[in-house]
Amino acid sequence: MRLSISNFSLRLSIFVGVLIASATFLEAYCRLSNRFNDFSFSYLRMIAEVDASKAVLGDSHVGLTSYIPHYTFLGQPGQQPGELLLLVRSLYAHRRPERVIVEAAPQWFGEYHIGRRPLLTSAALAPPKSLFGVHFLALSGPYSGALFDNLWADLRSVVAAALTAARASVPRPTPEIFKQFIREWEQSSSSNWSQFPLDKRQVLTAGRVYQQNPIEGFETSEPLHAFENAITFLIARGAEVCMFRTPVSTDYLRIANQIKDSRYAAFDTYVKAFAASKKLKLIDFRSLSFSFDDSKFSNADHLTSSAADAVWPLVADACFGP
Amino acid sequence: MLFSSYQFFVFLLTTIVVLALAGRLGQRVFLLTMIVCSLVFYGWLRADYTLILFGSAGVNFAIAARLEQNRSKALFGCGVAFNLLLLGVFKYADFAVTNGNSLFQADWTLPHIVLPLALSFITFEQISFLSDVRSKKVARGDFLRYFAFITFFPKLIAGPIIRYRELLPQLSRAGVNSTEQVFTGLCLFCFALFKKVMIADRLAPMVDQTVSNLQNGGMASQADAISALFAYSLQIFFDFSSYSEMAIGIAWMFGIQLPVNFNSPYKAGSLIDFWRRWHITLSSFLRDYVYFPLGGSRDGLLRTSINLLIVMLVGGIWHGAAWTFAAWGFLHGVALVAAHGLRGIELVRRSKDGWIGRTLVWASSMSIVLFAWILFRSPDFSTAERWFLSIITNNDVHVQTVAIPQRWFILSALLWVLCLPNVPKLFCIEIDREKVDWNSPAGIPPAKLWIAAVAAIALVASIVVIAREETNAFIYFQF
Repeated sequence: MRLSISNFSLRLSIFVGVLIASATFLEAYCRLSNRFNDFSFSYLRMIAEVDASKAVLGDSHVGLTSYIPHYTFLGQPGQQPGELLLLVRSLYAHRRPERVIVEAAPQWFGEYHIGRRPLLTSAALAPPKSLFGVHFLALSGPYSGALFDNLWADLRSVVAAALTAARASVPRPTPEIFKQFIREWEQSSSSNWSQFPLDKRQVLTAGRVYQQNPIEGFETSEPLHAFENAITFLIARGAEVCMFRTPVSTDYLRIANQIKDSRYAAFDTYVKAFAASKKLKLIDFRSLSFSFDDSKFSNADHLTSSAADAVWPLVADACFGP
Repeated sequence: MLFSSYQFFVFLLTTIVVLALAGRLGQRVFLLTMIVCSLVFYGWLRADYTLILFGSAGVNFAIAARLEQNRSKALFGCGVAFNLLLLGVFKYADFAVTNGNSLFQADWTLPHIVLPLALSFITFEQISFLSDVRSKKVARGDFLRYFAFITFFPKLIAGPIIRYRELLPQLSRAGVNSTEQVFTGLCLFCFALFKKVMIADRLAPMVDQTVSNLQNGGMASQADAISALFAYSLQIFFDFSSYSEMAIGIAWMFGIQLPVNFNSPYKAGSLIDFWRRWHITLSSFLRDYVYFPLGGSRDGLLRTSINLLIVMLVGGIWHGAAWTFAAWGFLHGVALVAAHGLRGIELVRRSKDGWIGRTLVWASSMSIVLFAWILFRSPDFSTAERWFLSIITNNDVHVQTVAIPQRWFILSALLWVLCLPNVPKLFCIEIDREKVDWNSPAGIPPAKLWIAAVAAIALVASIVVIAREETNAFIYFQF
């Protein structure tokens, strides 16, 4: 009998322990994973956190950058009137609006909204459920909806990365697919990379990574000599030279290690050695205090202008001091 | 109230506490409280539906009282007719009027009566109750126990369909007897909840989108049509088996064992075996209360075949008021007749000795089951026809309704079904209903350590998904 009770206590403890551990893991994943840095999540977080007593509301014509002091700009690209309604109800349910400018433009009622899935829904705008005063992101509509897909995608990435250690696994996209997705990206109304479907982003990124992979024997190639000569010339002319490894998306970095005949690692080794030989500062974008999630990019290897606005001053500081 | 909702979690927790307290005041107080809790559960959305429960129970109990004294065939017939009439009015009125209109070129107005939840299941339980009381297999007992049997909320909405003689002996010992029992029931509930919200509900959109496309007159690509067929076969299994297993888990929290309803049906070696593993409590009801009274297999091959066809037609039409359900039942009936016929052929019997023969029989049986689901899921014959044609022809269709990752998900669910043991086996529950001594059932052994750990993960994952508030109702609620 005694054995049975202690056995039961053990099982109950395991149950409760695993319950707490898995709940904590999922919550931490929601808070820390880069996959929740997509535009939709940052926008929803922004809505939950901003003081919108003075606000400008609309679509991409309004945008998200504030151009009027003390006003919050909430202009989600492609926002629909139904979303606007939910937005104002959510923003001003418990807060009195003071001054609000609402975009009055014909595209509110444009044909292009038909069939579009709204980002702002009642579930998405519902505040996260809380327990003992702690808000659980995992239990809020949008996070709950994407959590297992993201977790699965991360798991696949980890497995893929592990497999890639043995053999390359990311194939080069066919030129037709690559061109088609580029066209789709150019024609879409998205204002940043995170708004383009993840699977297509990865295909375009893979294409880009293959295109930019240093050629075989680049270490002894003519372009490398030209590059080194240019820097040597600058130094000789008295320039204070700083080298900066420019930002690329997380997927870019991952795929760069997964393609066949990748020479990205070899480039990193080379450039570090070259900078050291010339006693130059080499700043890697990953060392900057800036979150380089996909919403900061306009494609796999180009920052949006607003992100560039923020990043380049950081680069200058890192290179030459404040 | 859905088992897979936060509302139900609160209800269940409250019920456990209330029933634990009620149990201290005596068995009758416990049963009375359990009835009240069950009525709250049943009347959550439509309180007036509880009146149907009261009415049906009152009439059946009164008829049973007379049947106990006098085994009149006519009175029993009246009892059965009363139950079927009640079901007929609520479930088949629109169907009958629609068919009457087409048959007689009439224009009678459809009554549009809403089918109260659980009525199909209660009808069968009432019929088995009357039959068992009449044949002295069980005493009628007092109204409190009988009404507790009818209303017992874990099995109320969608079964398992239980017999009075299975539940009555347990009611005298029912109660929140130990935390161990509650815990084991909870672990079982968590496993089943995971199957519902993480698998069945994820498969649902793939099926719905394809069927909706077909219903609107479109065709599906071959890959989509096949994927949707597999997705539906898996969805209905995960959906319904999870409901039954949740019911078993919840009932065990109150010290009551319910019969197992699914025993890995897609692993069945033949169509006959499939029906011994799929919705077992319905199959055994149809066997005991329709097939045997019709004569079973006693009167030669022809009569046996007719009896089988009648039973499967009854089973089909019980599921829903539509000819597609009747056709589904009929198709299974014909296939079962053929399977019984083939069983008598020596060559077929011998071919099952080798693995090639067994695999062939399994594959052909499952093909029949799969194709029959087309009729079951399609709202009308033209949709079913388009679905079937989409599978057998290579259409040039550009609309994709089942994406590649979804196909991987279907494949994973299929592997789960074919390779993993079923939940009742994991919990070491006796699957064969005939082997359970219902006067003193062995019950469910305490959950193992690793099961407790997996159950906790399953619960957390399910809670996260339920937060989305997009959980689908159980498929069998509509029946």
